[in-house]
Amino acid sequence: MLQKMRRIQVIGPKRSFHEVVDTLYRTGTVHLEDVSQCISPEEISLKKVELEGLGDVPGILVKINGIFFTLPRTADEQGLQARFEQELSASPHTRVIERARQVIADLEWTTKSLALRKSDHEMAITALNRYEKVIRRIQHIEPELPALTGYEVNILIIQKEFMDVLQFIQAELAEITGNRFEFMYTGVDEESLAAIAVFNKRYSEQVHAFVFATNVNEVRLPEDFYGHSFQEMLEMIEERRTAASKEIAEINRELEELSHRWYWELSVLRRYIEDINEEMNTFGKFGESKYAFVIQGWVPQKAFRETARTLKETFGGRVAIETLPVTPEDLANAPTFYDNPRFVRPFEFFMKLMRPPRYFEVDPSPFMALFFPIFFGVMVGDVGYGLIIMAISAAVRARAKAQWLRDLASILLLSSVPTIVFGFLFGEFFGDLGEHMHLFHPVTVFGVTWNRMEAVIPMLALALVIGLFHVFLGLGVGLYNAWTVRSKKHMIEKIATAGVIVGLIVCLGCAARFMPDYAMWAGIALLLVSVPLVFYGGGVFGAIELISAVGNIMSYARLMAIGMASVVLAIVANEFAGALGIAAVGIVAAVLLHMMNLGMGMFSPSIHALRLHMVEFFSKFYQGGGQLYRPFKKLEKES
Amino acid sequence: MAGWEIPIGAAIAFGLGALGTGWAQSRIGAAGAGTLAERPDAAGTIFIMEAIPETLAILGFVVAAMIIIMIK
Repeated sequence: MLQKMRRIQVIGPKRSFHEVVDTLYRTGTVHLEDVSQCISPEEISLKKVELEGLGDVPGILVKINGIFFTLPRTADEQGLQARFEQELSASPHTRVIERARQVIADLEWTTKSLALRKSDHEMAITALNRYEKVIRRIQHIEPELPALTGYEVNILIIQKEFMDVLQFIQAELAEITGNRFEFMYTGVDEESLAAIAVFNKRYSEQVHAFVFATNVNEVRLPEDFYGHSFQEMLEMIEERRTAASKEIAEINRELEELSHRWYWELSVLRRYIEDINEEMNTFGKFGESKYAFVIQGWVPQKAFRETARTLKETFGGRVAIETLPVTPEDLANAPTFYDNPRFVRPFEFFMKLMRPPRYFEVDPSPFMALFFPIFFGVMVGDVGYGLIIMAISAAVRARAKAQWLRDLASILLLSSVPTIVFGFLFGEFFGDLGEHMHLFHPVTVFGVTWNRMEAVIPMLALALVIGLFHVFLGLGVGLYNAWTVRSKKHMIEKIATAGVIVGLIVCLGCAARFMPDYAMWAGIALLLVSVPLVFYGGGVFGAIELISAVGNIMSYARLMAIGMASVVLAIVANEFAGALGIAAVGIVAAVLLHMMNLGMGMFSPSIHALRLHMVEFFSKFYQGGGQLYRPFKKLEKES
Repeated sequence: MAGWEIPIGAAIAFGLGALGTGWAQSRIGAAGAGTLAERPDAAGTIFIMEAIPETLAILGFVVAAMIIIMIK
């Protein structure tokens, strides 16, 4: 569920401003609002607070980042990071900026020139590799070329599909050179051709201008290559490439030396400057008059007392914190702060796929935490699979470092419990293996033996009843949301939609002789009243929603369908064990099929359970479009 | 009636539903992938759009199951 928020305003004398900001920063509970947006100039004349004496912090940050990313990462064997962290944490902002400027002065030119040289050499190697590839391809036609000094060899790369252009180039070369040229071509690879033109150097400018104008990819060999044989050119390429590689190795060595001395200092420094930059941006949200400052924002209800106490203990009566009255318009801008019990928190991961709920909306994650595992359990419903999913997810959860992976593992761990419970109900242990071994048998409840292969219609009915309940719950939550914002039309739409669904069920029940005939009249009356109300409450879109709500209930049939597909595959796996002549081969095939089914069983039901929430359930109430609670505090440390 | 007509009918019911779903999802998926490249925050909406036609295959499966079970 979402934590209740309080809108607060902190006012104090200007001389205490920085201390108050530091205190709030350390407390880390206030989601700041831009004061200039909240208080009109007619109310109080406030100007934005600016950090003075720091200069162009974004520019410094760009330069520091530029230097930092040029240096290779080194191991922090001497605990340099901790040392610089300690040094900078005790320094005021001006000192940090001064240090950054000094580092830039010491390093910027050196690193820039090293990076530039390295890039030049790398580009040269790329070009040499290209020359080599083309020359090796055309080397075999060398004997056909005239060995004339003072002539230029021009290589053009042309896509095979555009080879018609060769005739055009040939004609143009004839015109430019007065028919004194040689022209031939050969394939380079599957897609391109290399065309070689040999002509007198005095036509060089005109030929290059023509080639440039035709937009043909030209491989322009270095000038000192002219007059050499292709073999000599290859030797020159090798020589130059070796020299360039040596240069790059030398530059890398120099960068590594620099890195040993500077990497960790730069790493810490850039983090501090990012913080200062963030702080500068934040300061724009504060307002000040000649003698006082104003800070405004949102604090979670449970953190308000602690925030107020800290300010009072630190500043006594000099700084005032008060709760502001909140209008419905203010509520629309209030931040969303998930404050869920531990077992619900992993399901907030799914909420990240959508825009967060607005402050006044119901947080759907507790509903997901309840229904997702049940849907998963109904679909997989196997004791053996449930136990394996439990073991795998517990192991992943214990070892994973990434939070998203831990969340997913926690969700699967929770889902494995209903999987085992429904496995008992369906009497499934690796499909029908449990039944063959006389360990498990389908349980008989409400006169139905819940064997999924036989009780298809009861399973379908169960799935639709679950769907009906879930959709009605969604409509109920939608009704509550509409009541929160006092939207009568939406409230009527939700109630009328429920009325139409009940009316349809009653009519269908009567038609199928499950209900007495006179109930049909009640159903028709309910439909006649509810349908116009749906139009009144939701307009044409309300009617579309109504049709989709009926379709949504049918969609829960997947709880039966996916489960049935899973159990069929498990049974097929067991059949393999006995059907293949050699027992060992059969067992291996069965184990492989079970593994595949288990893999699909962990993935597919998760997607379908998620879909039932996001499409069928959320569409009944969820709007989204809120902004997450981001308190004013130190950014998470990078590893 | 208990000949080849029943499985063929069930196969048509499920097969056409699955084909319809596949065709719709391929169109939505291609458009969705393009959208995500420019707007990664639209992942939730794309997921919903992509999931909508699935119902067709599921209903096809249900009808196929009904044909096999109920028509003897």
